[in-house]
Amino acid sequence: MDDPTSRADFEALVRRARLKLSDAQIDDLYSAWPHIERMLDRLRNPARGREAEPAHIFRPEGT
Amino acid sequence: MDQFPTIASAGAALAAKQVSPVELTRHCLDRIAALDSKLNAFLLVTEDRAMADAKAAEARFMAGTARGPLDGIPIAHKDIYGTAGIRTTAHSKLLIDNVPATDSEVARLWAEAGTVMLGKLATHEFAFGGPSFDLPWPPARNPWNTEHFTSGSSSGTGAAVAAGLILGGTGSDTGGSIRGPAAFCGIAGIKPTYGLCSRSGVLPLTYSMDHTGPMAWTVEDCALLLQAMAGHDPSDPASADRPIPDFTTDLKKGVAGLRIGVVRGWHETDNTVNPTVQKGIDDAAEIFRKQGASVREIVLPNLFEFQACGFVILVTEAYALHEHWMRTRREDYGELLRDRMAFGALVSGADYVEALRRRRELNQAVRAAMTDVDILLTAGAPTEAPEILGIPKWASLEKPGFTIPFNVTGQPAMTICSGYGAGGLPVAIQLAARPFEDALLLRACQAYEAATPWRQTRPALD
Repeated sequence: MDDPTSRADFEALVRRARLKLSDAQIDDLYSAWPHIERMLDRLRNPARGREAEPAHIFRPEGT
Repeated sequence: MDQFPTIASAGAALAAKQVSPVELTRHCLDRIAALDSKLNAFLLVTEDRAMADAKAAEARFMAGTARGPLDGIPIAHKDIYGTAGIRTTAHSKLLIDNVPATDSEVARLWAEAGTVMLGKLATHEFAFGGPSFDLPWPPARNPWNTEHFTSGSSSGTGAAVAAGLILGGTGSDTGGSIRGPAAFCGIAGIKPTYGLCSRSGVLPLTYSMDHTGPMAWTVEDCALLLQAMAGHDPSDPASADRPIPDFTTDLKKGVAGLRIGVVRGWHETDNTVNPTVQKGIDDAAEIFRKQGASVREIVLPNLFEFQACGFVILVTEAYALHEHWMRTRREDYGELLRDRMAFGALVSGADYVEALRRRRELNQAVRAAMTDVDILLTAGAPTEAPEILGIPKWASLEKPGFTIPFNVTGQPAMTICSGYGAGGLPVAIQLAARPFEDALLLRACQAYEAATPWRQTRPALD
């Protein structure tokens, strides 16, 4: 698992997203962020083969 | 008139001219007037429209030109279903004046089938946040105990059906929004296969996981409603162009010969359910076995894998839809939706693609596991409905739900009542089938429902 996101790094993520939040609002979201980080860690799988394409890849009709 | 008619029983009474569509509609409108102040199920009651629909249906019955099993049946739509000339708000200040010019495809199909439209039903804001107390309308309340939660987001439909204010209604399901309220309100709700029913004209939440579907008191009623809303719609890019079966033909053929897989790891390990829910699952397995099905355990990827994949896709696509307003009108959203959706702004593009790659893997794993299993059996929800005022803000992130796996895979899934817990509120099992085997799913649910007494009890509101 990657190191947990620091409060300062989390605030940078919020700024990058151009969300205008108060410190209290950032604190509130940051309190729940570990849940999201655990989910993201589950999805990041370096062992996944390069051939594992996203679910939305589609075949044009007739091919 | 029966105080709590079902669609099937009302349809028979209408066909036999034992009751008229106007009488049936008046009955429902009177119940709404008497009870909805306790339930907040309706955002808007369209009485004039309902009476006009009922009179038109009555004329058809008198002329011998009735349109089928839904003609004259009182229904209502979740307030994310567009309705021509009728306010469609998503339960949000942001759309408080939104009046669509056209019906959503499902609203059009149900109107064409002769249904009587009673109004628009409460939802969690934009079918995501909730229960919220800072919106223009209060959240719906559970008819079994109005201090308790309905679940969501099709909260008004769950409450209105359970209380007998309507005979059926529409829901939508992106992570469990049909099956959650059906479970907590003790009714039946099916999330059909992705692509079976049109989403056109329904306010979206997450394009790749949104499903439309019906909610009603019984499985048979859901089958009747689904029949009238399933079918190819070229205006919906996800709509499947394939023949639609008759969902009632084999409905009562039972489960003999079917292979049932109990996903024990989900409800006994990943998110341990309470004893009443567990008993409902065990009893259902025994009922199926006695009726001639084979029942065995099936192992699927754990719930945390589906939660991670489904939540990241859901919140990212939802944020993309709402990004402009989240930057310019953020304070007009309710706190719950605003804050939950903010995570979608913080997930990277690479993480979203990883979620999509994981989605294909999970889909393939479930498909492989189901090569010799027809129906999956697990919980609909882990407990009875909790008190509506006691729900932690981030509760949905803490434990993985039982419903989102089938939004990730797109396969059909249904929750049905499996008893009543220590608090007197309903509990539910959930069944799922392979994609486009919705008729088989309904058949299995019908077999369970017919073998149990749960449909004999209604909430004591009057």
